[in-house]
Amino acid sequence: MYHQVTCREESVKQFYVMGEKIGEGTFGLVRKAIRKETGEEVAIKAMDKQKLDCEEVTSMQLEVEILSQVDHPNIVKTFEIYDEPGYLYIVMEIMTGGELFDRVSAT
Amino acid sequence: MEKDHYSEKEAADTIRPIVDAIKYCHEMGIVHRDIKPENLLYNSVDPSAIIKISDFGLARYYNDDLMTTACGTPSYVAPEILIGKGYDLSVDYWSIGVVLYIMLCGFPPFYEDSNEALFEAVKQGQFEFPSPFWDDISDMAKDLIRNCLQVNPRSRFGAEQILAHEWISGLNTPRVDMPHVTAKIREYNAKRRFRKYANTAIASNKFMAAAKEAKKR
Repeated sequence: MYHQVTCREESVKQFYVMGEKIGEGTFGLVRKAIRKETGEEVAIKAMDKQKLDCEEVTSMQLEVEILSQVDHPNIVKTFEIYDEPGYLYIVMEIMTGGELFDRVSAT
Repeated sequence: MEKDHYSEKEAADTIRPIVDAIKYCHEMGIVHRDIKPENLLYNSVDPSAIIKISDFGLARYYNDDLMTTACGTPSYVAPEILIGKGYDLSVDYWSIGVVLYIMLCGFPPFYEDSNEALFEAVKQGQFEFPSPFWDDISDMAKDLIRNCLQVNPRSRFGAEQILAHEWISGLNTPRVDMPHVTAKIREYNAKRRFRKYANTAIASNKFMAAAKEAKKR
């Protein structure tokens, strides 16, 4: 039932080229990025650990734990997590189709 | 959802996999606590795109003890979270009820000028299906929404009941195009970005402060 999300201590920029901002999560900015090795497009959420208070750090750790566990076709997939000294990076599947109502609005 | 066509059937087909994903989370003991349109994303612009739940920033594990932490997004938050006597997984289905309501008319069931007034309205759980906007929407759809927007969590529909409801799984869900609803949703979608207070997630430590802040204004 569990799927394995690798948690790395290397630098995310070693493997990905960061692109433009595409969204904002509860705790951090989401950017488009390209995986150097494969050219694959992904979304990377960066959380500035310095800006989080104690309670928020706990929530962030909980979010990471939950993201590494869930595996369902209708839940955005998490590929990798990079835990760097200043930032935590979550590498996710990129969602290019917009939000629910963006799509209804486009009809 | 098919381009150029938006019916109750399309709305039902859109929400079904989301309810399935929430059910999956609940089975893993995870409550999302921030189900809202902004967290429901499509993986591509293709007509066959898949809708997915994103942002588990307010999610947590649930282990039979009622949760008491107040958090969420004001427009979508369940009454029992505001009442503060504890809540369980069913808060996610209240949010589904709110999303469904908006999907079928283009405006929210609870709509006030401040968070304080909004929270009061949610606690009362009093909402309507105002004319003329709801005149052409099926009774089946209204029945499902009423069952999701039950103030008492024990009377509220859960995943199985939602998924088995005739509006979700039956063959008679209307397939009539709803251009006026699409227009209202477009309007709501544009306006929503300016009504940040009611649509922004508030973490536990700031939630009640936000309510009090709204009171002062």
